[in-house]
Amino acid sequence: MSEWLELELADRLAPVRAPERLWHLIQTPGPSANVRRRPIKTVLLVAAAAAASVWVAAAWRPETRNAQTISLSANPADSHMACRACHAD
Amino acid sequence: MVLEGSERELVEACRRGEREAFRALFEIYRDRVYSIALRFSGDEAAAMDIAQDTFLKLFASIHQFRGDAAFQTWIYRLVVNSCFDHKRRTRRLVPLAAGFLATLRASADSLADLLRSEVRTSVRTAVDRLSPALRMVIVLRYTEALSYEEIAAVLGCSQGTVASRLNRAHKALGRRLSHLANGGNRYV
Repeated sequence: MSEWLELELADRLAPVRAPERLWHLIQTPGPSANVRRRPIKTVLLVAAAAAASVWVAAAWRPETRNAQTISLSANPADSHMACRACHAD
Repeated sequence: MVLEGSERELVEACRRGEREAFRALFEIYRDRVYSIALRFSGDEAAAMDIAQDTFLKLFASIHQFRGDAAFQTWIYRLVVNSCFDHKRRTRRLVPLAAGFLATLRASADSLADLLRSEVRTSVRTAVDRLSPALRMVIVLRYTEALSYEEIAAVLGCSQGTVASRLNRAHKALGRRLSHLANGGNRYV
């Protein structure tokens, strides 16, 4: 390894003084202001809500009807024909 | 117990729960713990978190210190583990982006300042890009000036492993900083 790199690393990685407030942080443990926590609960909640919405939308989708059924059921007089169309018996 | 006389008394006093002893122990090790945390993470806020975590673990588990290793080695193990834990918990920005932000923050009143800042940022970025295992060996070697034997004791590996990691780290850093070796260092 080059002497230059050795000196550079020793210089750039030299020890530093710890901030005075470190002792106060230790005395009052708890969620640190510096901690960047991931909102796991929120993410899971949103994902669950999205999944539930998709499931409900799929479950409640009106049945697909063919054009004949729609046209027949639109006329009350022909409603019995609509039933026959649905229940082919 | 592998302790200096005064340190042994401090540890005993900490075990008895004496507040002043905790403070005294903190004053002895705070700069070393914070320096390792800062040089490993490259970020002041992260270093504060790591140092806080280390001292809380130290005070909570000091009764578990059996004395079969040097007390300093035990503390170094705590801070090394806290560094790795922090690294696992958080994903850093791409080192290049972090380096770029550091350049923006650095004062650049003159061309010489700018070049000095560039060298500093390049070294910092190159160290950041090392794997955590290689970076920790570099930090313990250059920040704390530990011997191969001491590093091996802290990391729980052989001296051969330490030498191998240092060699790999030096080669990687040499490759990444070769552009500075020829001309950049004359500004520093």
